[in-house]
Amino acid sequence: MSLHDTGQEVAGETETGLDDLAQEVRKWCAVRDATGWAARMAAADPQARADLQREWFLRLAEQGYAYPHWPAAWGGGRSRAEQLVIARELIRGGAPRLDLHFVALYHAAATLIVAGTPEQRETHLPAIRTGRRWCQGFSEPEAGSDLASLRCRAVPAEGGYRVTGHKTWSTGAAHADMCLLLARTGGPGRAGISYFLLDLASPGVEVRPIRNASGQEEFCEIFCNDVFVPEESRVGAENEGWRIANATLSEERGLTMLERSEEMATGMQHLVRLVAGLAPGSREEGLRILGRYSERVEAFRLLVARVLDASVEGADVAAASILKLVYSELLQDISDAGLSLAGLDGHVDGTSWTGTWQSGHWFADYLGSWEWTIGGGANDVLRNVVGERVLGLPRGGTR
Amino acid sequence: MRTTMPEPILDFGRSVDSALQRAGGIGLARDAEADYAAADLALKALSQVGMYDIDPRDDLDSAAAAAELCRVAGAQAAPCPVVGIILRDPADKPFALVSDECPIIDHAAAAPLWRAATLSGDVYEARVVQRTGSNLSPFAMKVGLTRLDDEPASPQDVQLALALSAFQLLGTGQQALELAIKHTREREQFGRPLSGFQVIRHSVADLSVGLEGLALLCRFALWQIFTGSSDALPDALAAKHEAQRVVRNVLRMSQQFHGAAGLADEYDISVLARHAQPALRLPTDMTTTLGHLRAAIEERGFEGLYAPEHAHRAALTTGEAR
Repeated sequence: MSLHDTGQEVAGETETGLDDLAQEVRKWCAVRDATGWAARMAAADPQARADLQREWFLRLAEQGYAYPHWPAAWGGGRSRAEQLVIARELIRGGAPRLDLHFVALYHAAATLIVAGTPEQRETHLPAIRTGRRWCQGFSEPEAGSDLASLRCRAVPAEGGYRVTGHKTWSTGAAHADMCLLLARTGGPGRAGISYFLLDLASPGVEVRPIRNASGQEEFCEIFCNDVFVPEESRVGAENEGWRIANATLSEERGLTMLERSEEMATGMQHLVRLVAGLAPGSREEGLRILGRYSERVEAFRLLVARVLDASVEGADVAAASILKLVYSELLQDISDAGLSLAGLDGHVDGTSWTGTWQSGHWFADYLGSWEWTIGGGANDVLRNVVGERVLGLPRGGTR
Repeated sequence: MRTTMPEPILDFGRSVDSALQRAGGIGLARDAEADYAAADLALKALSQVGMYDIDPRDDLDSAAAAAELCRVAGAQAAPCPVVGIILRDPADKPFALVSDECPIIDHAAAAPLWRAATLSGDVYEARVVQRTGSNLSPFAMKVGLTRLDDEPASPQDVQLALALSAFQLLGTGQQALELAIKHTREREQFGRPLSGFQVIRHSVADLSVGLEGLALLCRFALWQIFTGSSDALPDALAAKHEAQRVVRNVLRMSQQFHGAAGLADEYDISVLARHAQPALRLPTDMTTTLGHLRAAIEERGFEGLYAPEHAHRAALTTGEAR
């Protein structure tokens, strides 16, 4: 991106063939009844919803829409502009959010592609394409923001390691098959952590769901009691886990934010509709809110484009942190404003699961926005990252 | 106005608090979601400490006792409509303020019939139509309204309903702050308690200052209802609006300090934040409350602590001193 580019070029509109692709996705959404799928998932119980998600995911995969961001060798290879069009049209078409496949498609895939062995890629990437789900086993009860203090231990044993520890806040673990696990193989701090691919069906693994504020059981605890993990399931060298986790997290953060930014831009229609329906007396205030958020959403989209441009030559952890910081707070502000503008009508809606993070079901959207300032690095920690790595401030009391 | 509650009232508050805690505290709200019978335990505890003997319309002392009870009920997320019950009519119908466009009453199922009024004083009979079905406010229910040709609602009832609801939110906010302080003292990350980080300390201090201001505003509104020389509606609306603004922020920040635990129902802060939503948003959301406040000020003026004549007197005194 240069200063002479227009915003449209940033969003990839000038690439040829994109209109055709958009139309293709649109048509596909209509034929496959994307909206109907989202409604079916909202009405389903958790297990049925998990099954429906897999079914929908497989249809997307079949069409090449599920992982366009993967390398061509693995069935992706779409340009960023194409990824954007696919994401945007799926969202506009009302397609359901695939939260249970999220870690597999982004974080696990990035880990395997960036740091995995050829064998690990061969084993796991095709399995993800056929619906295998992953979760993340990073946080522990005593190690949240201070992840480097994690205690889960992997002790060398014949042919691999024996792992014992307690992970928590693992989203979707109850429906996952595999887990990205950080465990201690060396001394204290960042230098003693290794990265593993844990099969959740291994003897000694127990998953316990935690009921959250939305009434769902998305978060889970994972207990590992002397679980055997083979040596070939370690990613990278022993005690290299921290570096790998950092590299792949930022990889993931940048790409998912592309999708989120499109969702956010599309989601503005709900706010527009709301403001259009306001009584004349409240219209002015509504327009002011609309103007303010339109500006912020556009700024966020540009920021995403800039970070992704920069990350072509290698991911920038700090820049990716900024994206999540901006997105999460913007999402909370927009859904709060939406709920406020919708007035009490915004309350009378039983939907506790929505197709996207912004659906116009304001109470559900508002509630769903809460977790964004916490998961994947609490905003408090991300601010430290910005202060230290972007601004070069001295390290504070975070170590 | 006295800036502190009289000791007997505070004493009463402590007995309400221990009665609710004995009955199960915030756990009652959690339990009531699975089985509404738990709500009866809260009602029983509040009845034993004399909730049904208080009529806040009697005088300022009674109103202060009612306010203290509502504050403590808010702090314990008591799963019952305390403000409505305290303001019930002679036929024992609880009272609620509603919006006539989208009428919702929290814990509406606690009574077959309600007496409801809009902020402008139109009176209705209300009965449950359906639950809103939101996890955020599990007991809020949509009600059907039948217009009654009674006299308009007494301004005192409307003002007390707003002020008592503000007290209830104040209690919720104070509890959320307590939970935040407790958690940030106990939770250690990077080798020290979260409360050792300046940014956390500053945030907690801001929340505490906000709640102090709210507490005073709530007391002032109550005092104005009984002793003010002018209509106290702007004061009651101001207290409610400030409660909506301050407590929403306290809850969000406290949840953020708790990290993911703040969103897990095993932790009290999550339950407290969800059950506080109706009081935060009924009968009108913050933005609409502010609209009503503006209109009320325009129509009736806003005397405040420093009414023009007082201000005038103060200026004169200063002049003399000079």
